[in-house]
Amino acid sequence: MKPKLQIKGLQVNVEDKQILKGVDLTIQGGEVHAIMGPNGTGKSTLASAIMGHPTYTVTGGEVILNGEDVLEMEVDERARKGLFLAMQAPREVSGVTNTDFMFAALNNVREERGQEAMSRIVFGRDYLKKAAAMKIDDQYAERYLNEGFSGGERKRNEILQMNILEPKIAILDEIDSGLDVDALKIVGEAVSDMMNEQLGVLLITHYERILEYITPTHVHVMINGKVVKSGGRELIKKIDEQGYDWVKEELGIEIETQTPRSANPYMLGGTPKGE
Amino acid sequence: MYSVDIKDVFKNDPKAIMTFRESAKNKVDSLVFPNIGKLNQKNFLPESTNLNTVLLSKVKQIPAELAKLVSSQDVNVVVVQDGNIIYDSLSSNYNDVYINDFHSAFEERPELVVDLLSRPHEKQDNQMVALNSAYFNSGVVIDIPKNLELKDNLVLVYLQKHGDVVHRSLIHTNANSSLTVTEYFLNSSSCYANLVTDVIMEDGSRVIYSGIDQYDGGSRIYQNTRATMMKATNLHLLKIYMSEANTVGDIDVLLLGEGGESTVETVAVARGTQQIGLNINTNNAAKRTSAQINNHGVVHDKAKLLFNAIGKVEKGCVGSNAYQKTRGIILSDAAEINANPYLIIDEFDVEGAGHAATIGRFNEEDIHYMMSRGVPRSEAETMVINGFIKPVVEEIPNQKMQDYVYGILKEKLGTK
Repeated sequence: MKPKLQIKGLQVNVEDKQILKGVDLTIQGGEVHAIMGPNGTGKSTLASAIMGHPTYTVTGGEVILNGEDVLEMEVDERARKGLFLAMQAPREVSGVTNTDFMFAALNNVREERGQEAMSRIVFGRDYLKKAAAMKIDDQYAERYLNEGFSGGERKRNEILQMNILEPKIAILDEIDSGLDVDALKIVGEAVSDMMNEQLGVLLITHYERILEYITPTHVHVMINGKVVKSGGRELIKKIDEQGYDWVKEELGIEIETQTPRSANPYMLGGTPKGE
Repeated sequence: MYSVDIKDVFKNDPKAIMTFRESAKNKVDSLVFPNIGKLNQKNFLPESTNLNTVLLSKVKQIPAELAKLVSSQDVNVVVVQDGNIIYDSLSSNYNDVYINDFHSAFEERPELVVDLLSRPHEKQDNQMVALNSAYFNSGVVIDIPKNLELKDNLVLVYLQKHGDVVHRSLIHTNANSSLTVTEYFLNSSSCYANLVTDVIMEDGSRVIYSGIDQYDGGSRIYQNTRATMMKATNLHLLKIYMSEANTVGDIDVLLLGEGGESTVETVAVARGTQQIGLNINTNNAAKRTSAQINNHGVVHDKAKLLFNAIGKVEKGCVGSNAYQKTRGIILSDAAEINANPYLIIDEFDVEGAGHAATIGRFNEEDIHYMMSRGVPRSEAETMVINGFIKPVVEEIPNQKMQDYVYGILKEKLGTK
């Protein structure tokens, strides 16, 4: 059975401000959904709310993963059930090594799947193989989680974690921002290589570059907290050439201002957004 | 405080030492107790004292209670019990180094002891240091000759078994020498401990010092780790407060010579009803000196931990810098950490100065990140606490001791 994530009429607030105003999307295994749209229209809010970040309050709608109510689950349970969010600004956690963390995460996920715990040695081999594919140097294994990693290295490290944890539905939140051409290729090809019927991807971006490597099956345009247009790859070309003005005109809407700063979860911890 | 008569208990000391003791005793009342803020002094002082001197002969085997820490296979180990070096095993690199306890040093090198005792500046004294100077019943002298560079870590283990301990370490690095040294203080019967280490660094010398204490909850401790740094010296000072005992701890780094550089790292872990009050001082008293302080504290249950971090740059010390950072994790509602940063900069033309403090429960963004990969909250918290102390513990230049200390800290934190 293919994994399936259903988002139905999702409404999300940050403090008193409504950011998502009823989002509907269904993502299945084997599909890549690209969500595009101008800055501050709620794309990252959608990603963070699905993963359960405490800054975001769901005020309406449903999120269902393989028939189970995601909104009822704790954050860690969501991950163990197969959700993965590659974050815009991955946290630095001093004193916790990259491999200790991934080893702990993997065995928690495996336990949920009814698989036996992986031994450290087997894990170590798997890690090194997958890290090499991401062109992440072996010495990063013993580095503290994301500490001293460049912006591009963090993004690659996120995709490495995705590769190790093998989620059912992966949400990639602007995984392309801050990447140079080479890193973009590594990240894009790695995700592309991972694609199969047991993985569905929700890709949030406002550049079309990454989509040269990860071919979307569905493209959505999000404006003012709603998916206002869905279609195929033809939308990417049009956005690339004409921006979003045509959507505005076609649908007769005004694009509202940026998300308030307080809505950005990454400002709380003091790590500025990498844009 | 001590009810004994110096002239009686220490009657075998050389005259110059006796003079030093008496002069210190006369200063006790005019000096003040270290600043412990709102903490009650009574919690850090003994109800009664039991001070005497013990003479012990050398043994062939390391005492059994130290087995987890050091073994007879290890080299560069010195074991001091109740003021006597009872065991040592030193590599040939240490042939020209003078290491002895006070009993022997008073006979062999009395002038060296008197000279080193007089080296710390009087502004580094306080009431507890004066008491130490008057009543020390345990002591070690380490004198590293000029230009000798010692890379192998020297481990000194101080085991208290009988009565109260008033200990003084005198570590002296002559010009352009280098030393890596660990002092480990522990006890086997509850007592009142006053432990002072003086590191006296001549021009161009370098020291990596780590100090660890592991006293039981029935004890009370005063500790002071002081450094006197001359020109172009470099000190890395690591202090791990790991005891169960109520502790007043001072660190006092005096940068007396141009171009001196010091980094101080501390870890303090308190649980139960334990209280720890720390004063971490750096004093830039020469041009182009550098002082860094990094404090790490974790408390739970009803424990209280106080960090006073004091960086002082004297007038005229141009091109100097003084930075400090204090981080703390509070694991229960009834536990408390107070961090007071003090920067006293009397020179306009400093290179830089600053302080930062983050005290609180967990960083929820970190926890969220870890949980978002499937790690349950409790496991993520454990990883964060262990990870908070691990980078500092890893600076202990001895793998076996690192593992042992990390194990004890995890046990103390309830994260094992």
